[in-house]
Amino acid sequence: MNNQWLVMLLAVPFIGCIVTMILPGHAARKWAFCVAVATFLVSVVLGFQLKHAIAAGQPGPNYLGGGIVGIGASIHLGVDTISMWLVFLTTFLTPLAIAASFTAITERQKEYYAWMLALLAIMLGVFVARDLLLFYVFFELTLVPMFFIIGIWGGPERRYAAGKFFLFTFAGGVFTLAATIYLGTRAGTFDLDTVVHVAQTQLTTTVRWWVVLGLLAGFAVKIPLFPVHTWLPLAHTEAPTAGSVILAGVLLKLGTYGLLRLALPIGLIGIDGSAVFPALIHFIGGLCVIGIVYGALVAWVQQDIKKLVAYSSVSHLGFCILGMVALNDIGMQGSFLYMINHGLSTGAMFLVIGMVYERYHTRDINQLSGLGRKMPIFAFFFVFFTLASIGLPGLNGFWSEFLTILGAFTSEHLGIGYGVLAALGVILGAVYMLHMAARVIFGPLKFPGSDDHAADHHASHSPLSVDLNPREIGILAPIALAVIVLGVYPNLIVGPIRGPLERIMNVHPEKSLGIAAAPTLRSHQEPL
Amino acid sequence: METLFSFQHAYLIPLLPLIGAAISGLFGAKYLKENSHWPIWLGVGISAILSIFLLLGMLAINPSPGSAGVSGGPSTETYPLAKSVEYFTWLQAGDPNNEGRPDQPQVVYGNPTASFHVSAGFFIDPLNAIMLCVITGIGFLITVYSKGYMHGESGYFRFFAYLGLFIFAMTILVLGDNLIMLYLGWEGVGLCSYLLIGYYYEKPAAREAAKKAFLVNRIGDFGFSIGIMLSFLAFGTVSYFGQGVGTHTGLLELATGTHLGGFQTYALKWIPFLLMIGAFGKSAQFPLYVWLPDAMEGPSPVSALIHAATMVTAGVYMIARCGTLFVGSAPAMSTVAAIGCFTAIFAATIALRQFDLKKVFAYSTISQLGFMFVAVGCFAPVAGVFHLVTHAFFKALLFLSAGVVMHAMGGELDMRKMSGLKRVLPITNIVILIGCAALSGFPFTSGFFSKDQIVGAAFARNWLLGAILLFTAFLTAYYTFRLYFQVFQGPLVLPATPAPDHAHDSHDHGHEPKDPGHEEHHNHEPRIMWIPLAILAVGALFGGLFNYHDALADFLSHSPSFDLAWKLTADPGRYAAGFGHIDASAPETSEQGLMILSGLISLTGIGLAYWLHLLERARAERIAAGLEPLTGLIEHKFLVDEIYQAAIVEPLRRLGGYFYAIDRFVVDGVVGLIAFIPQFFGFLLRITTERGYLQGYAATMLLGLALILILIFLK
Repeated sequence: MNNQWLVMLLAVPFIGCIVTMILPGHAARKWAFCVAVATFLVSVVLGFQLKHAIAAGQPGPNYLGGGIVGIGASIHLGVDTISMWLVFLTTFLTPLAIAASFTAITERQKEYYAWMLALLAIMLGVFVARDLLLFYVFFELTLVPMFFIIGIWGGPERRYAAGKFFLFTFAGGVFTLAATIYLGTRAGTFDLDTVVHVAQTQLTTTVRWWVVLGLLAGFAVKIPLFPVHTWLPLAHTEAPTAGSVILAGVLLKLGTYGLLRLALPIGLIGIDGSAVFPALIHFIGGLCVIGIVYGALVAWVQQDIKKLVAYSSVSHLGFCILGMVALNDIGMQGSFLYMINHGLSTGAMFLVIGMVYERYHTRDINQLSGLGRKMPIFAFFFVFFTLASIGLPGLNGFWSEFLTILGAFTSEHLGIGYGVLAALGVILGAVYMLHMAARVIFGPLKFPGSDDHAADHHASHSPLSVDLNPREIGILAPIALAVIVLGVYPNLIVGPIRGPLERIMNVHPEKSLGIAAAPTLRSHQEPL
Repeated sequence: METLFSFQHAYLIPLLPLIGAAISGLFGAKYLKENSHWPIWLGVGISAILSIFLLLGMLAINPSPGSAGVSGGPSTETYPLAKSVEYFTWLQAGDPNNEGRPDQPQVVYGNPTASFHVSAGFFIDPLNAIMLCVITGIGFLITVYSKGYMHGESGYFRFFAYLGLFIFAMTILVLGDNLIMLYLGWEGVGLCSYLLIGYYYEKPAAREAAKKAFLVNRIGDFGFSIGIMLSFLAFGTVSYFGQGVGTHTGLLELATGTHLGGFQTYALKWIPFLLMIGAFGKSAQFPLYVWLPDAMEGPSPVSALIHAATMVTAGVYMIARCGTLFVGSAPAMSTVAAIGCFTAIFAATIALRQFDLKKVFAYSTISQLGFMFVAVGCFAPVAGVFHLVTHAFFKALLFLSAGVVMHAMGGELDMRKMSGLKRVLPITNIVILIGCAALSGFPFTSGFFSKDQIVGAAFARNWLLGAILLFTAFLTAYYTFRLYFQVFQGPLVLPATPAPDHAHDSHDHGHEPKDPGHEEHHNHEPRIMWIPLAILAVGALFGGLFNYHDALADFLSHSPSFDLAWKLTADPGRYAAGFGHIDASAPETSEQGLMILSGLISLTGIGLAYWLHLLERARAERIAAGLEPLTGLIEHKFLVDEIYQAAIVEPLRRLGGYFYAIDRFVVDGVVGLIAFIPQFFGFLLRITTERGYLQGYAATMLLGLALILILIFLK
């Protein structure tokens, strides 16, 4: 039975986007915010439908629209728990990002909010697409709005940054497209489940090797994995605040989602749940570990706090993918939790950095100091999200970090060494984040113009209050709440996603090693 | 035990301080202001009452002493005072059906759906009942004291909110029923320590000290977390006792199993070393002790509560709790004892030449923690816990007294600038004398008994270990009374003006730093500050009675952590070789002789201090000048900080710089190359608009993708 709410999920922001273009300029931002909130509400309805469907033992909401018979592609939408949580992340962050743009974006507002809503619709499309071609189309389409958002409303080097962002991701995407088309023609259809089944049962190992490399090329750039991460810091730094939030919060997850949903089952996991290319898993795991340490060390020496957080994403996504390629429940559940948590805490970090940039027009770590004295509420949120980001137990970051490392540590595909190296990255994670907090929040008060009294005079005419205003608190508080909820009750996400993850891993309950069989079956196999 | 109210509602012990912290934190700045201490007083106070009732209730149950040790059957009734309670599942990854069954641990390796179950639950036994009383009891006294001490500070509400949060985290640390809960508390107290060291956050020194404390602890936590993971990999669980003591489903019990697999045996060689790295970080043992002296940048009540009485003892608690993981490994136990012993004498040496009151006590704390590690490393965890309790009393007392001095002297702490304070601070004079006596092991004070047991245990293991500890005890007595005689006895000398770089406690004070010349007009010992001091002084004097007739050992023998570890060491088949017989109580032989010896050593140290620092003060400096290169090295703390900076921090930071340079080079190189391609196509297709080639490119792509979409939708 076709579920109309799925169509609504994409239609609401899309229609909202078109309406934005015909609205008068000053109304655009409120309209866009309302549309984004409406989209969130639609996603909540969908979430409840999914919950009921699972409770009743039925498949989740599904929509099968018209298709092109000749190509084998169709409008096939659907959600399972994996898609649903990423949809939630998207519809949760976008209204906040839009609200954060109210004072920051003063030029060409109509265009800006139209692009934001278009981006929202496209991102949701990626997560609900159940057709490979549809997935690819949405996946690449996200580039366009983000390209304009960075290129028009970005910082001084926005043209260069937007171009680099576009070229890197598009260059990777070309290979993904080739793999997609090949898979579609081989399977005779682009339907995701069919394609995966065909890939696992009919393709030769050589073919799967090339297909998975093609898919990986696009996803690795998007994630981004070391060493193809170099577009990210510049794009993040130059993007407007909302752009950075969406970029870090959701767009990077398109890569990880693609890897999870497509690359793993198509190229890396055999029909019996074994690893098809153990060497490739070691290669990806190695890149992750290098990225974790490399990203952390580079982040540590940054002068621009936005760039620091951008490099921290390189490090964080290393954990995320490391857990994923562990190919066990613990690692993959942790990896998925990491996607959500990274979206929340890094998104929040970009929001608070945007708030300080709006006030002082600098992000230079040497020009800001001791803001805790001047802006205590800001300082609270800054330190709070810093702690979430460095994985303090009780906040969201801890479980995802711990589970991904534990997954790699206990995995028969990776092993103890990967876990230990990744855990070293946890130390470095605290080094650079606390370095930033110590410089920005602690210490003697200093901000651009703090020495001359004219600055105070100027500040009094600024539309922004000294400390955060209620709108800004309203933006950060929901994220802070989510950070605590997921820290205290991670099972909210970790529990429901096990089913879809085990389907991806081809581990079925009856096949999994029950406790009775385990000691005799596996006792001769030990990690060392 | 299920009938005890405090057991049924044990969750209130951490929860109430947390609620108090939330109320103070959220409403303190605007509404409560100068009353922000009330939520914390109430929360911590009620927690303290609950904890004391829990302990008393346990004592009242009074199972026949030592019954746990002899009956030995695998039934849970063996430990009537040990119960676990699960409140909710904190995390369940993997397939819950794979959880280990009794006597059948889960196999993790090679099982993609292995179950990782972490409960938000408590394991309550005599060990943490004692710890809870120390934490909440001393914690409550310190919150009372803090009202007087922190009066008028601008961040008053913030201070109390952090204190409440700390008590929450510390009680979670000791109550948790698995290693992850321990880790939660572990990191939580680390956070509070970070926030409270950085309380005067505008001071660069406080800022750096806070960061350093967090990062050094992170290094320790690295080992700790790997230890947890290895435990899970080997035994399939992180719970202490799983479904109950006797079911062999918990980590601590599985480690005592007789049919360990090859990998499990191998893992047991590593797990204690990994866990002890964490313990060394939190409990400031060499080489991870460097954060603790700097942590004195925090307000004095924080130094007393966190950096002397409670948090820094978490490492001792961890090793005592996980005893069965440690006692199976002779190298691990020897390492713990050796590191503890070295830290004890090393820190005591540095304390000899410190001139800042709080710094002396900080190094002394490191040294005393070393004693506790020697105890747990020498199979005398009871002596370790005993010393932990007495140390909590007398060191909290000393730090709080130092706080009174600091308050009265306008933030000055340099002992060279003050003398004869007994005339100005008569009550403090008495309580600090008691504290100093207990720290020096003056006969029949609390520290005397507990230290004596540790030295006894050390001698039973290795005479060199014992001899070093005795010498350290001598140094301790000397440096403690050097401080006392210098500051409180002799002619009255008051610091002329508050030193600007030591003024942090007067920083942000609502009132001006007091002029010490007009002492008589100000009461520097308000009742709210000296009453907690007096209570602590009673504890410091008579705390030795806790272990009267080995009462503590009897009580702790009802803790499965202790009992199982003792059984393990007594098992002649597996562990006797290399250890010899280890008795639960302190060795009986020559106990009297040792007591007399250590008492004499303490008196000698005090005598030396009396001679050098009261009778003839100039002589001490002459002697110090005679030993110049050595004293200089000690005053610079053996240059350890500088070595770390040059050997670890700088190279890593330089590496980050190199990586960043590579990053930019790769960016410019590769992107320059790729960017050429669309330029070329753009030129060919003549779609380059005035906005630039890239936007034209994007527009083309948009058109193409839209075309595909339209095709799909139309058909």
